[in-house]
Amino acid sequence: MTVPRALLLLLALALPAAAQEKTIPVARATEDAASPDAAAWARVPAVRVPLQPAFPGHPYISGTPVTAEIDVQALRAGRNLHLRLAWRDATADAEMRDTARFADAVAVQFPVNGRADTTPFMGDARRPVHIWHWRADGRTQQLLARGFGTAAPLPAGALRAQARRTQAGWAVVLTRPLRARTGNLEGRRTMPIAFAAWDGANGERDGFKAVTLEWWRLRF
Amino acid sequence: MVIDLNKCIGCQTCTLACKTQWTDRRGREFMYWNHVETKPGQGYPRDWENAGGGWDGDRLKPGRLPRLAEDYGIPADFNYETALFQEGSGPLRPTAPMQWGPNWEEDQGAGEYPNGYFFYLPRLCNHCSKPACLAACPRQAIYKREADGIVLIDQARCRGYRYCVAACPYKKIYFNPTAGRSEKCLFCYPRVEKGTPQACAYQCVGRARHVSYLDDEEGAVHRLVQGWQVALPLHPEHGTQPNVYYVPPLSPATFDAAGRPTGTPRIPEGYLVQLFGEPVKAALAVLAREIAKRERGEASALMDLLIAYRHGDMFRLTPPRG
Repeated sequence: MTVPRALLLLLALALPAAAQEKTIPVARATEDAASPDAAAWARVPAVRVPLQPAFPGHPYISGTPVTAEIDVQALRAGRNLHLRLAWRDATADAEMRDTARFADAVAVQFPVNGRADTTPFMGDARRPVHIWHWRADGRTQQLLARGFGTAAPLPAGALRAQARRTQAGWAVVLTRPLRARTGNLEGRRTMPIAFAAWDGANGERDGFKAVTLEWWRLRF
Repeated sequence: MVIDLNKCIGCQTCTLACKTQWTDRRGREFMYWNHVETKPGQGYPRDWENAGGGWDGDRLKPGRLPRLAEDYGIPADFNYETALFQEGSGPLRPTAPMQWGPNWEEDQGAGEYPNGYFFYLPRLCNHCSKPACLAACPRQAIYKREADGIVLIDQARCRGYRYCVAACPYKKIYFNPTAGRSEKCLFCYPRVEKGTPQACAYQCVGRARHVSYLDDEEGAVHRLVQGWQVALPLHPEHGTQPNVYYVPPLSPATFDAAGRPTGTPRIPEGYLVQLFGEPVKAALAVLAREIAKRERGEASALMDLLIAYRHGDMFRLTPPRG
């Protein structure tokens, strides 16, 4: 399969300068914030993260994803990092019971080496990425990817998710201890982060998704 | 594999042999890796012949995902408790209406009396030489085994994206909503590896299925496909190069208004061309010629092969040397 590598290269070269602006501050709290309704979230400013269609990575993947933006809040409470992700989605697709339907989903991605020179497009063989993936049927997984089509679940880890339907769509809080064997966040001042959303009603899955085309930065 | 449609009686023994072996539980209840549908008809899943997929040259064509209730059909529960054990409770019926199912159009067929017609078409994964499913998977979860050509889905790699389902023009890959992954006919590889033929073929009471390597010159498949050229792939226009071949069905002549046979077969040749392409005309002619020989009391090696006097002769599972 021919990947337009020139396009990837152009995008990759454009990254470092742009990344400076795109910062999500991590607030601190003492109480637990694992629920999207936790009181602590009222005090944390949300950063609106615009999304674009992902480069699909395979010629059979086609379509225009519908999610335009995610509101992101980040909170450090004790040993945990909580990420609250809220986005518009007109229909709740929270089941996988039909052969022709897909579930809504959201994910965040980090470079395993912690550096923004990792490609945000699923990483590559030398610089993998680490993904927290929530799906609306309740499945929450951590994945490791080394390029398109390689995402593989990590052994069951300590990632948890709580989700709620809002008037406009979904609010999901992903919670994980900062310290971890893969994707360790403890002791970091900043960490590149990328986002993705899938609208199940639009048939979105895999590389058919809305994403950030460049790294954002979590600032602890 | 070659399936002789003149010998298929639509008994579904193959379907059940497959189902009890592979798909009777855990999200597979609606799945029939092997099934027999009645033609003409929309088949199973419903309208699969218009659901896209396959190749346009070297480009994959888009395809549609069949829906569970509407296109496959959700297997019904029946009111056994009341119908069988409560007096006056009425007949045995499904507890909820079904919308579709395998061979939903049983014996429906086409044509008007006295010239109605139908025939049975057993279908399974074609284990194609150029599998669209394999090419459509963004995760390389589908592979074709070098040694025997069997196409399999690596369940550890599959994440249930279903591009393979869309890309298969025969709609012979099924998404298992319980497992969250896609599944398909394995060509009974665990049996084949022990020298036992595929369950669907071995259990066929009509002796309609022959299994051997295409390049095994002594095997029935080679002789029927390349020698006699009476076995053809289904819908070859999709470009996937199927490895299941069919001996097309002959049919009795239509009757004219006076009730006299016309000499024109009831199954329109044009319909068989739609299914098997232009070569079906020559295949039917060869079959008719060889049948006529036997009717005259002459020998026909082709008829002997298709009759399959000895069950064991129908299966040659050892790859040819060289």
